[in-house]
Amino acid sequence: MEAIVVDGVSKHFTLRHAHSIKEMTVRAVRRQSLSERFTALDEVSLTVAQGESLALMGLNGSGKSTLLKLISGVMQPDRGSVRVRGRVAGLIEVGAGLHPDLTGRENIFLNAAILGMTKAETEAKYDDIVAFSEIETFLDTQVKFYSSGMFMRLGFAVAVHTDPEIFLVDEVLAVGDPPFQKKCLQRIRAFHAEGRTLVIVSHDMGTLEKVCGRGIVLEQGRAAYEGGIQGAVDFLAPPESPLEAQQRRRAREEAALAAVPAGDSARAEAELFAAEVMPDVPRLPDPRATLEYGLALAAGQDGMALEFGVHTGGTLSVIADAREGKNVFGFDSFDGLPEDWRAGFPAGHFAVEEPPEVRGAELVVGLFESTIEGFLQEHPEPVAFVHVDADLYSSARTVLAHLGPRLSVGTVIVFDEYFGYPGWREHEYRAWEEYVAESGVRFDYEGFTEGNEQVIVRITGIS
Amino acid sequence: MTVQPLLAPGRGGGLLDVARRRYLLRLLVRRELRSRYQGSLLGLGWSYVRPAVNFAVYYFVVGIFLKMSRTIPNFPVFLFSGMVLISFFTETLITTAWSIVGNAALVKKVYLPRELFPAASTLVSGVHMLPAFGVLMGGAVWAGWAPSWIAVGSMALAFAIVATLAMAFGLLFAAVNVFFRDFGQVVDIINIVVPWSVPMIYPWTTVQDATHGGWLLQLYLANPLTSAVLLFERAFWWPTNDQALTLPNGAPALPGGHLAFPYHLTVRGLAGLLAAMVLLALAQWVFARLQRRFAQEL
Repeated sequence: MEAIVVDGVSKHFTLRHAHSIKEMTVRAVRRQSLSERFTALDEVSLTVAQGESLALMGLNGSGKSTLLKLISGVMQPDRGSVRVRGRVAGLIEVGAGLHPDLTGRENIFLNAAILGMTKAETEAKYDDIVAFSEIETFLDTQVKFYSSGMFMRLGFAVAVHTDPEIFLVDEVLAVGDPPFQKKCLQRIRAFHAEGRTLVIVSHDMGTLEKVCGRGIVLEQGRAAYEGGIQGAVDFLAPPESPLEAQQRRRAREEAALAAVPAGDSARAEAELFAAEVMPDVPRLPDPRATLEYGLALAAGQDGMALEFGVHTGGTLSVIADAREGKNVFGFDSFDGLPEDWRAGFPAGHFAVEEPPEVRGAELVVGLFESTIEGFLQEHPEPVAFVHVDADLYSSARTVLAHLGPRLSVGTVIVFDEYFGYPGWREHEYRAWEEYVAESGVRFDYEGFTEGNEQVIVRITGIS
Repeated sequence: MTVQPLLAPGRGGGLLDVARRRYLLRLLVRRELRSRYQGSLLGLGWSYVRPAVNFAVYYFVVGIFLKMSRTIPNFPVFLFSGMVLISFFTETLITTAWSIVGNAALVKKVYLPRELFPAASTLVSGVHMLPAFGVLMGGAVWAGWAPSWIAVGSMALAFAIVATLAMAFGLLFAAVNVFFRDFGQVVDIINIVVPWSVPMIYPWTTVQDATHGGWLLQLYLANPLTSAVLLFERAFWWPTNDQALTLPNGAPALPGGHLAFPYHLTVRGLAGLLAAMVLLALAQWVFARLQRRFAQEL
């Protein structure tokens, strides 16, 4: 759904040369023009989808700030129309609403009200704003005695704590010292991850590439380029030599790789998910702790402990230790992933030369679909503990489909890649959701790894 | 979650939007009060000093030296009741005229209903009027004033007329001043004329005598500010007048036999309020049109 629709917008400015009757007369007598028309925007159209992050780029005077002001409603277009969905707030020169004679505290309330917050909203976020601005000790000092850095930080802190659907950022990412800049950038990314729409004006190409998905380059009031952010950056600032082009390409590849495990938006989505469905469960510090916590939950449960996806056997030996070497089995083909998983993990990844030796555990070598059925016929015991490290939706689904009848109340399942990476809703999470829907099994979330991907569930009812 | 509609940004609902953002309005008023007296020794005390000096000058020159006190019994209350109202009006004109220009930084960068700024200035003037109003009230009570329906009603009507009129001119001047800063000067000149154009320093009968009751008198009385001042005098001065007379037809009169107030003063007041409201609607319309270009003109 579109959040901003700009349709054929033009904006002209009239520069008046003469302001007094005398000046006007003099210019008229000399046959000089009284004013000049200047076109800031010329038939610009664009649409921004909800949750999108758009970069407005261009040289000075290309019209990007004017466009931002039209979107915020500060200016009205001469021709065409601008429409927005939801509340718009912006960092258009932060600190515009700060009054030098008021104290920092008073300014927080005033500035928040200017940006559309109510008193209750401001009070609720007051501590966060103060913490973000890092000016605790100067709250009761008049703002006119602040350094310029403190002034900007205060303005920025208030602005980023408003709750708009559309957030406009105009060249303010250069505020403050590098640590503060980094914090601001994180905050803006978090806005993006929360599904807000962003429109950013900046000359800092590196930042834009990190934050925005799409870019529009304005040239003399016209949209000269519209497309992916990297293309827009190359259009506005073409690499000057083959070497630079290569450097740029490499930097982008590195950035893409670095973004895969972090997956900021996926991470944020997982955080939201966790806060919603398992607000009170233990948050475990690392994957190992999660596995051990799950094993402890299953300690009183008799039956087999199974791991799907053994790889080098590290986690399997943890399981074998916890179960004292009884009825522990590890499943893997040891040929790696049978198909492509997420970015950076193509088919064949995780392959090992030969199956590892794990004390106290028995390995079942082969593809899951060809091994599990026969295994279960030979082993009639119930399943007490399952470690699903199958990564792929198809594998996790196969495992759950076969094991289903052996799961009982109290069975603990630890998923190794449940959520928090790009595309997580398509893999283990999806396989489990579908299994639950089909089988009618009831379960509780029992824990997850803070800032990581592992989740523990325990079966509470079988229908 | 409900889907919000696509709307054009920056198309405000005018003064209605101001009513919707009362909290911000309150903060803006507080800000203005705070910053005006920042670093001054007397602070809000200045709102006592200014009317006091103003009053003293008129009282001694007009009341004593020019002997107006003989024509108008209890002249101090007469003078001060009109002065409180007119000071509120003139101060509002000045502050509202500069309210948009003075907030240029905000107007250019954040979209707010722009009517907020003149509205805040009007409220600040209202706050400044309170001390003087308190003094007027105290003086009137000391001189024997007691509340009555006609007094309270006249006061409310007079105040409504002046506030509406001040807001109307305030919106108009604030908007025009953005394009032609000359308007700041125009307002100063208006403010020289206004105190003399209403029966604040002299009784209205002076005009009646000078114009022989002709159309010029009707023009003079048609000014809503004239009605407002007369209403305020009826509210505060008349009840304290120890030489009050009534004509055979029951109308209040001054010692010389002149009518203290024109006939049908209440009706005139209501008509004046109606006119002020029409003017306010007109001013709002003009303001709404001009405000679209504020950001680029400032």
